[in-house]
Amino acid sequence: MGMPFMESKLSELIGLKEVLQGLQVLTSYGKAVKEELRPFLPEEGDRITKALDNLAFFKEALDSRLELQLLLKNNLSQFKDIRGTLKRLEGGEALNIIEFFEIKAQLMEMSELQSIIQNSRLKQMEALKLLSIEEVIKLLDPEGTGLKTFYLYDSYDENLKVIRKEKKDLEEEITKEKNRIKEIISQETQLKPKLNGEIIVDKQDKDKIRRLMESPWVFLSSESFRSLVFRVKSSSLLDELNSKLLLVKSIEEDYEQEVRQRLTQQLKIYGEAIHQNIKVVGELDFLFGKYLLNKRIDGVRPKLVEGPYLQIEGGRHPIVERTLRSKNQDFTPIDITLKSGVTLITGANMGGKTVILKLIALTTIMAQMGLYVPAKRAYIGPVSFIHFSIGDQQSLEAGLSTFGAEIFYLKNTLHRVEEGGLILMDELARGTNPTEGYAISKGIMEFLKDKPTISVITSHFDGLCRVKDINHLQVVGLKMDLIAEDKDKIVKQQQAEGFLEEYMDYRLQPVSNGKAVPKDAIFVAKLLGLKDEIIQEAERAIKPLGEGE
Amino acid sequence: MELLKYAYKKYNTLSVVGMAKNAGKTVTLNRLIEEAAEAQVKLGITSTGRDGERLDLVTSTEKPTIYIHEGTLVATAAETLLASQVKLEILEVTNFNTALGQVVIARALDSGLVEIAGPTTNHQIKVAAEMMKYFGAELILVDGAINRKTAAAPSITEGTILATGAVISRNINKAIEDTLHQVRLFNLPVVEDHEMSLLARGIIEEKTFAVINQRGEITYLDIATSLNTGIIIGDAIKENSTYIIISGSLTKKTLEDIIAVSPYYKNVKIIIKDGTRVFLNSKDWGYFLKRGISLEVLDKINVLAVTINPVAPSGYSFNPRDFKEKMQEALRPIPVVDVVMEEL
Repeated sequence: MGMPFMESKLSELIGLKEVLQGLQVLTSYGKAVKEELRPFLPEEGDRITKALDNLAFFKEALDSRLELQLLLKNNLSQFKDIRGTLKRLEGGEALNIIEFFEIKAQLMEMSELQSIIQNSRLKQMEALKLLSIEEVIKLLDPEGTGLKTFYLYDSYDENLKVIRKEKKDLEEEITKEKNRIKEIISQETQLKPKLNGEIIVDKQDKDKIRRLMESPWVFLSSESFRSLVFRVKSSSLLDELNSKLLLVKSIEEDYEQEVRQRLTQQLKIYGEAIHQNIKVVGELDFLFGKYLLNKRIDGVRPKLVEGPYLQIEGGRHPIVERTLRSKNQDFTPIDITLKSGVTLITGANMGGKTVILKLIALTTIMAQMGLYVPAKRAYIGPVSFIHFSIGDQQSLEAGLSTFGAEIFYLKNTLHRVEEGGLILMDELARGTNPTEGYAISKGIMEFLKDKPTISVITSHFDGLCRVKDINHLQVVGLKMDLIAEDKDKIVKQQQAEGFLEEYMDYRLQPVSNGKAVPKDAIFVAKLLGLKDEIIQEAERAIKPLGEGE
Repeated sequence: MELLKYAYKKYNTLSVVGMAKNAGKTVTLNRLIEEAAEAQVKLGITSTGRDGERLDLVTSTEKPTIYIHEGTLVATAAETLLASQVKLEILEVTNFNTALGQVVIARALDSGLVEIAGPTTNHQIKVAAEMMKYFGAELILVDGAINRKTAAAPSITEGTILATGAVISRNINKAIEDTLHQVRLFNLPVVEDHEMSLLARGIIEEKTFAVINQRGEITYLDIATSLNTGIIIGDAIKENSTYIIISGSLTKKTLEDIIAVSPYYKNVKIIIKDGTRVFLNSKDWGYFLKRGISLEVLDKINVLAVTINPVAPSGYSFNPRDFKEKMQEALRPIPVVDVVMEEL
């Protein structure tokens, strides 16, 4: 293969990037799956079908039980990325308790997810089969509390349990002994040590100092300019208890280390299973994202057919549609059928021809990615590449003229036409003089018309309509009746951007062979409010040329 | 419960801030912890971390090392927990990142020392506090800071204890005056107009500056550097201006420039986030008040008590009784507690 399916910048150009930004995932596992998303090639048809089947089943399951959406959302948003911890687990070095917690919390989330799936129709989906992890959870929840929290439980090790008990007892004895000493000091000196065992007195306070000096239970620990700091002495019992405690604590530490090591080894066995489940979580998350995206764009499952072939009924461009909607306008759904060979689209200026090309590219790619497409119905025969040229944007980056860039790009595509691709060219050869532009366009169309690739070309060049054996479509165009009716209103609105959209019929209609390109550029300019004297001069200039044939 | 009583059962969250290093903040914090242990009050402890600093800076900065008791909850960075000898139960790992790892909510299973390095934003501190409440903390202690550049303002807690001490000045009167000044800044009047308050909060959250006039029209100011802030603001104050909203800190230079440039500055009120954003000493503050500067805040800081340390680490100290009496006199009705010299 080697050759790319499409140029990388195409994604932004046709609005695919923006559409995919709307495909949101909740976990980093879903994100990893999303990053792998690409259009499948015609020979990978079964993968497209599988992706579409999964989405269809998922959609049905969620549509029929609305609370499932909420359950999944709540569950998925708890998953943190623990792949780093799992890597440490595989390394085999004893994990720390924060890492054990992370694994335990995630396993419990997986277990919750498992029960959500089991209680819904999703349980029939092969792609969402989670491996049972109850055994692993038991390892991390040995006392069966069902809590997500984690510590090194007593039940991991009898020795640990015993030593902890010993530690508790010692600590209690120490507190008791400390309180006993403090009590004696209070009685002897009428001074109560602070909680940290200090007694601070003013140097002026001779009486207090005398009492403290006389007590066998305190010693002068430090002295400042104005004050003396006494500290409570330790008793021999206290010393003994404290050194015992120190020992006990170090033994506890050793036992804990052993437990962590053992637990790590036990968990390690399940590393692969956890990874498997992480994959399923990612798939589910991604599927959920596709489902929600489809809800927003109101799409339909594309039917796969032998390619290259495209039939879109009621197609919409979701990004353009969103922009229009924010201006309270509707997107006119487009019907179009494309077979291999050349389709020429002509029609009014501002008639939406560029948007149609973008819609064709977007719908095709989304379908080949296994997504639903924004249309009422769509039959897609997958293509092996997409070529999309729109003149301006590309040339600016490459430092070529519009014409140069267009030809250079096309030249590189032409040797692939036998593979069965999709070529979309907006206003072919517009960057050069009309006479030669027409000639080159004709040459290109003649070359492409009997190739097994779908080529769609928009143009204003008259003569192209006469090329034999091509499919010619035309934008219906300006609604002249309505314009006549609203004449006064239009004069007033001329400043407002987008007012023309109301008077444009964006639908496509087939044209019988040879019919001329409509001449309405001057009329449109007039509607848009260009200076009268320019319009008049233009009308005079065009007269001798006559209309059509 | 000499100190804890000012917050316990009255507020859910309490911050401790120090006027300066060695003013006794950690002593105050430890005192609160000891009192809570004695009264068997379950504490949740966290601190305001610093945002976006390099690891070496974070590790070298002073983090309070605190002795916590069994049952205490903490919200602190993973590495501080792993370095601690205290046995812990992990309750939750948040997705709040710090240079020392993610902030973890944990419960102490025995007693011992732990370093606290909490979340870095106000919002995260609030969430961490809520989590600790959820896991059973009765009172949340936040080790706060006044002078840090980031969001570490005590205004995020319901109450604040201010730690001050002899370290502020060798002159006892100056030490008291400075403390009084800080308390006054904490108590700056709050913007009363509810709509203006909402508007100003939005502007401050976006870290921009704006002038608002009588008709409620907002002019956003393009403040490129802090060097000429005052001049730009001064120029923007018109005859009908009513409020100036200043994000970040308010300095002497800014106020001087505003007064120098604008003939109308006396007609406007300056709005800032809270009293920690004012960087003026008490003398300058007095001067600007006399010149007719009027200042309001979005969040009042509720000072519950002031703790004093009459000993400065450099060797001098004040007569404890004297210091406390004079401080109490100046701050009344706010209670003053000597956390170092006073007997319990």
